[in-house]
Amino acid sequence: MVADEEILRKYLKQIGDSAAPEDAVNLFPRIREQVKAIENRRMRSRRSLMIAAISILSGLGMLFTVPAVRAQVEVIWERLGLAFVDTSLFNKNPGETAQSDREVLEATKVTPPRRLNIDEIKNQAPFEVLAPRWLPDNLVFGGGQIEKLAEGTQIELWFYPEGQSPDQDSSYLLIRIGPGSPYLVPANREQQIDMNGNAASYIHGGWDDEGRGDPSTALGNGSNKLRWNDEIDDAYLTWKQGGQPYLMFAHELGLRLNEMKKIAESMK
Amino acid sequence: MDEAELIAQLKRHHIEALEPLVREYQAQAMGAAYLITGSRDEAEDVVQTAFIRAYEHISQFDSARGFKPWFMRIVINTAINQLPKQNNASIDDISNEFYLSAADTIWDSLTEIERQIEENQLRETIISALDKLPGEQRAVVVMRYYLDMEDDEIAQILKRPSGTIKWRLHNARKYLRAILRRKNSKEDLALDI
Repeated sequence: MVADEEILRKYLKQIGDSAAPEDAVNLFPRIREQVKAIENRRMRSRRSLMIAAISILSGLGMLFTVPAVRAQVEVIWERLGLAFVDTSLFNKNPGETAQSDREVLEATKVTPPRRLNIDEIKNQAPFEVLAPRWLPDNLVFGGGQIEKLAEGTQIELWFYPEGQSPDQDSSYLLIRIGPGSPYLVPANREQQIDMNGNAASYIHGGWDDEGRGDPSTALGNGSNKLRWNDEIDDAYLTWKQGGQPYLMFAHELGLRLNEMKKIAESMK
Repeated sequence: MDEAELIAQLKRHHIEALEPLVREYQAQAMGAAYLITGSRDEAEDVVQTAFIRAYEHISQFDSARGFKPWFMRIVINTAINQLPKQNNASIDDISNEFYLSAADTIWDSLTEIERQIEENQLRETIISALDKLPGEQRAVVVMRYYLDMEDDEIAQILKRPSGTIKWRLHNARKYLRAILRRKNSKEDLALDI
């Protein structure tokens, strides 16, 4: 009996091992590609939810001018490109915003303008543009954009891991100079820091629409509820320099405060 | 970098940390998936899917335990789910006639083997014998003899009582042994299920 089992074991090992000789297989590139594709799909979905949340905020912003309403929406305030939300107040009225969340979920397809090189940006900008002199090893400049908004000129500088196409957008560093739509972040995650004697804010994490994250730091209600997940690899750093608000957003780059601060401090 | 550090990086969504784990476990995972599905292409799909699932659910992985048993559990379950539904019946659900007929077929090829004594043919015979087993039964054999798992571990993965696994393994072993043995008469092949 033992001999039979040994024969079975021996032949199963031979058959199984012949399916994938150790030196002949490398599944990782295909796995990575598939994971990136899945994450991109999720990112688009998350962006849709973000657009939904920002739309709600814009609506609230308009209502903010009405004194009676203003008193009700003081859960949100904006500073240097970040919109801070007191998420504890969202937990009190479950179900209230579910319908409006669904109504604004349709994202608009936007064709981005052509990306400019750093010289074009410096020549066209109405103020001095400070580009970083230090970047993490694998990061390279991938182009920029200038947009004239009612509040002033907005400049965006995009950086990508070397070899990654800018179209992929799977990992990137964005530096935004000037006014722009605020990024919605929870007030209870803000880390106030000092940068060259100026106040700066740092936040790490992102909104999760898959039920993970901190249930006590949530936004919205019903099926579209977002939870703040500290494990999401997003990081925000905002500060003011030369009279302009600066926002640095790192997505899926593994960057943390020290590296982001080092990039920011190299912009002189 | 050790496995614990790789897992910690995966929990921070660093996909590159998956590469050493893929290199370490892909061959054995491919082998197990191939033995269950019987197809190299399907085995490759199973293993890719299993790694993606592992990456996506890494937050549920208990770092105090080894990555390999947790990952192999995903591979086995993915492979079983890949099989056609009719192939997922338990060995306990099908009749003696099925086994006797299957054993007859294999027996015929074994008598051929006796004449030719070719190892390749014996391997083919085992593949063919495995293919006759229902999916979950096949997985039990693969886990026991290819992945060297203990009965309790198999029971945990398949979410069956340990006694059920022992019984299924006993039957599968008896069936496969009947095929591997060189018997002189077909009567000796009768299985007392």
